[in-house]
Order: sequence, then C-alpha cells, then structure tokens
Amino acid sequence: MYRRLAILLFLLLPPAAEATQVHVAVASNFRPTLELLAKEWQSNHQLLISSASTGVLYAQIVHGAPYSLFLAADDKRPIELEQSGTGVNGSRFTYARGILALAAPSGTHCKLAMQLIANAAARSISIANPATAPFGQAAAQILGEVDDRVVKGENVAQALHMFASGNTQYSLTALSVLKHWQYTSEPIPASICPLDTSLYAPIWQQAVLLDRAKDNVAAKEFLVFLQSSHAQSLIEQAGYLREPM
Amino acid sequence: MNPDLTAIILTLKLATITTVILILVGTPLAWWLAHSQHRLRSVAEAFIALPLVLPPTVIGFYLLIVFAPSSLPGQWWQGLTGTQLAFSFSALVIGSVIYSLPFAVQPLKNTFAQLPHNLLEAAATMGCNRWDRIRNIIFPLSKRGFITAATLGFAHTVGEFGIVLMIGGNIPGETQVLSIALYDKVETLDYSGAHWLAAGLVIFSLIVLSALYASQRNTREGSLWG
Repeated sequence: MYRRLAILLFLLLPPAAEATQVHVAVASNFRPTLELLAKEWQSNHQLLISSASTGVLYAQIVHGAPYSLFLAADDKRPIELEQSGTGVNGSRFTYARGILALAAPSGTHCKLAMQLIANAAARSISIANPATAPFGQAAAQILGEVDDRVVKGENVAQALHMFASGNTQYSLTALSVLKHWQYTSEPIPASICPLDTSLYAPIWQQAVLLDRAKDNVAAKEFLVFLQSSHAQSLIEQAGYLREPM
Repeated sequence: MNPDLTAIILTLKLATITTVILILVGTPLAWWLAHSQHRLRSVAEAFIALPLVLPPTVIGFYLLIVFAPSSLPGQWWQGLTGTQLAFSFSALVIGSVIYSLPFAVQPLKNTFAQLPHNLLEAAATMGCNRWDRIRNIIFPLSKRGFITAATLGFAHTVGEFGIVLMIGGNIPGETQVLSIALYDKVETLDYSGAHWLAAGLVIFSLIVLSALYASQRNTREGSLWG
C-alpha cells in the first residue's frame, strides 16, 4: 500500500524542465496573434504562453514571475522594466501598434454607433480596466468619462467576452481580438468598427527580454523572428498597424 | 501534452500533495484543539478558521508579499531549495494547505472530541502504551473523520480559484490548475473548451460529495462536519 502510494507520488512529480522553453507573458490583445506566430516559427524550441492584462503581467514580473519575454500592450511598462534592470537593456522594441475597435449590435452603421456611445444612448459598454490595460485606457479616452454605463473587464478579452455572451450592448476593445473572434468561433453577428487612430493616444506595443532569460538563446531567437517581415505582415493582418515609432 | 490533460494532472497532483500534508499537519492540531484546555485554544481555532470567512484575495495578497523573492521567507526558500517560491507549484501547495486547513481540521476535531475516554483509560490501565492506543483504538474509531477530512481537503483544493489566480500567475504545467484553465478558456472565448471543463468539474464534485454523504448516512453522525 505504502509502496503503491510512493509510486503514485513519484509519478506525480514534475517532468524535468526543458532548457529550450520560452515562457512568454503576453498582453491579452496579442495572445491569438502570438499563438498564430508560434505555429509559424520555424524552430525546435517551444513557446509557453501566459496572458493577462499588461498591468497584471507587469505586477507578476515585479513579484518574480518566471517569464522569459514580456509582450506588453504599451511602452511604459517595458521601459520601466528596462530601467529597473528586470528587463535586459537594449532588448526593447515596438512589435505592433494596437488598434481600438468598437463592437456594436449587428447592422448598426459604424458612424451611428460612434454617435450612440458618445451621447449616452448606449445602455452598456464593456471596456478593459483602464488601470491595468492600455486598451482600456484608450477606450476611456474615447468615452471621455467612465460613467455607470461602462463595465470593466480585467483585459480586452474579458471586455469582449461580456459583449460576446450578450451581456453588454457595445464593447470598446482591441481590433485583433475582435477579428480573431469573428474568424474562429461561432460569433453572434455584430458590427465591427475600427476607430480612427487619431482619436486616442497611440498604443505602442513593446516587447522586452527579461533579465532572468538573458542567456536564453531560444527567447532571443523568437525576438528576432518577431521583427522579421514575415511575422510583421502576419501581425498586420491580425489587426495591427505596422508603423515605425 | 494536451493542455487540458496537463491542467487535470496538475490539479490532481496539487490536491493529492495538499491532502497528505493536511492530514499530517491537521491530525495533531485537531487532537490538541479537541483536548487542550490551553487559554490560547480559541485563538488558534480562530486562526485556522480564518480562510472560511476571509475573501481569498486577502490570503492571496499576503502570500504574494511573503513569497516574493525580495522578502525574507522568499529568500530563505531560495537559499534552501535553489528555486524561487513566487509563482511556483510549491507556492500553490503552501497556499492550498492554508486555505483548506479548516476543512480538514474541523471534522477531525469533532471526531476526536467524541472518542470514548473511558475506553482509552481502560486500555491504559491494561498496559497499552501510547502507540498501541493510537493504533488500536483512536485510528479505527476515527476512520470516518479521516475520510471526511481527506475528501473535503482534496475537493476544496480542486475547487480553489482566487488564491491560485493571485499567487499562481496562470502558468501552464506549473500553476495553471483546472479552475484557472477554465477562466483562461472563457477569457479567450473558447466556450466549447470551457463547457467541457466546467461540466467535468460539476460531475466530479457531485460524485465526490454524493459518495461522502452516502458514507455519512451509514453512521449515526448525520452531519458532514462530524
């Protein structure tokens, strides 16, 4: 009995960690795109993906989370990590520029939808939490004030989830997650309106290599791939702008 | 490996290890609570029961601070094991033991309190030493209490969410247990995947609790809590 228990416990032990694993902490808006890129990456190394809002991931990294790379939805937090030494100096670059988009009830003309959310005719709008999510911050900038029509998800994916499950009438979220949702699952019909980028402060999405992975060859290799023209054109198709900073 | 399977194995591993520790730690603790007249007993009992009333975020917040590599306990752990405590599987085990402790201690304490003392005293007068009494009287009579404690501890660990979310960080294969994997699927709008996991957890919990209540029905003690 004890021997069986011992064997059972032994089987439950974790397998030895693979040296070539790249653990990516990615902002929720970029997760579907990153999964696509991971498939395209010609390499024998593997990506391990954890996603949350940029602010949540940043807090985890500061508390010592074991990530190799951080793909944020802003440039502020990667800069802070680089300055504090948690990020590798000089490894930081802009991998995409995010586009904010509005999801509205099916058949709503985009111009009308924008007017509706502007003049309080919309009953409920889900956005990502402005405190932790850069896309939420941009959404708050569009709405002017965050009043009681606005419900906050933890990140863009959750904001979309509130809309996709029929619980909010509108959602101001990332174009990339909206596109992914429309292509992959069986979405409820909706109007998708990318917003004019002049309406909100640019969302420069930056990547940074984290100090604990400074000798991780695979992580560096992936960063090179991320900047390749092949990866960049895939990112553009996924719902981002390709603009040098 | 399939990510769902990874999450299932990780969850079972976490619950198994947590349950073993809960029984090892909970048994002497419950015995002391059942028999001690110490004036600090009520305080100790209150401490153990705290996870029942506190939001998981409170415990998660404190553990996050304690486990950080910059904190003293975090540094001790690093020096002792060479690995980091924050966002690791070991951190989840510690968090789970604290969070599930009342679920293991409470049934054990009630069982121990109901043990017939004259029997133990009689055994002692007949020359049974302490170990004899534990093995031949206390364990057989407390079997049901141990089963209840282990089952509740195990099931409660499987059902944990808030603390794991705060101290685990959603890392596949390391801290992404079933409840977190489900959260992740809902967030990424993978509803069919979410349905599978959610239904699986409902069925698992129903089976465990039904088995537990059925086993309780066969005895005179009617309540789950002993």
